[in-house]
Amino acid sequence: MKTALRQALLLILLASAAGAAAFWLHPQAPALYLTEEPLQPDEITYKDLSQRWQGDVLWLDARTQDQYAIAHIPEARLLNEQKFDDQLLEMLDILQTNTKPIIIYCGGQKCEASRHVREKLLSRVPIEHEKCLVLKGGFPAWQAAQ
Amino acid sequence: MKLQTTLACLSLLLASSLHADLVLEVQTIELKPKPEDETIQTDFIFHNKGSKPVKVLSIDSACSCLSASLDKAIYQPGEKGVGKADFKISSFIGRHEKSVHIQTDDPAQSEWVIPFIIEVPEIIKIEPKTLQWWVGEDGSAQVTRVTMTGTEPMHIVNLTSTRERVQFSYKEIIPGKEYEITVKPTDTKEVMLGALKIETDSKIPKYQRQLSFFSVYRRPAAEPTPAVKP
Repeated sequence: MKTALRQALLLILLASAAGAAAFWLHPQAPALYLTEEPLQPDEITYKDLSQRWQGDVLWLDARTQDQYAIAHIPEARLLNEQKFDDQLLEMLDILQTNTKPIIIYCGGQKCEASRHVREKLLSRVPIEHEKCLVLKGGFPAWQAAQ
Repeated sequence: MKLQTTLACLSLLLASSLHADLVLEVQTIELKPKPEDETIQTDFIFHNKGSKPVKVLSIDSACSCLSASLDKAIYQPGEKGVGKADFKISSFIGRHEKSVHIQTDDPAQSEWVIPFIIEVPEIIKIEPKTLQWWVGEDGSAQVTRVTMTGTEPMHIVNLTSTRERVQFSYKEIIPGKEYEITVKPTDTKEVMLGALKIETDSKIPKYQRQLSFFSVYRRPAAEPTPAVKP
């Protein structure tokens, strides 16, 4: 009985050692715990923008027309990479009188469209960079906060 | 018993080193549409070079302009797979780097990123795309150069502005190839964001109307104003 227990213990130790070795040595070993990606300089969280501006911002939706048609943040305007110039033309009057911070969102954390739209918008209209930001987590982050 | 223990240990060690490894046949997938194309599709080949079967859980694109699909969900070690990608060109021009993110069930390769490079030929170049003045400052005329870079000549046939507070005109430098547009705000007292609609005789519908922008805007507070000469 004692021998069997010793062997079982030995097996557990060896398995633990193998697991630890794989974790330390494997180049693509996953993290042991979930970590939140740090906020980029051009990003803002929904919580932060709610605190800073009480949600009184100009929302721009950088997703496709179809996604926008299904659901979007109330009063958000569509401005995506695909039809950028034409859509910008349609909202020049709004931008001309706008004094609110501009927040751009797309389909999620992996999505880069809002960042590209921000770059293009800043190249066309000299808005202060800190008043034109990307919503961290995109539309799903806004949905989750509702 | 010793043999059993050794075999069990070896199995554990082996299991811990098994992993999937989805790899493309090429380093980057390059797409080169023609100027008139609205979409471009391509097939791409990849292999599971790892030692473990891998299951594809989801496919996400970093751009709504790019979609992709794979021919199956599970790839065995050494198995070849085929994917399809579809890029909607719309108003994209020039070189663009996009990516598709594949989520798998293997923690060692939980996300496989497929890089794409799309090069959309530019047949009309507008430089600068935006002319800019500051509120209350110098409102001198500025020039935008329009160059037809395609193989076929293309002419500007009309030019209009979305705002009345600007004077504008265009001049042909090289017929069908090069034009200069001069724009001058009538004043810089107030903020003004506008656009010039440049109409051409291009045979490709999406190039028949181009836009260039102009703005009279508040100078950002952080940017230092140039010193005034006495």
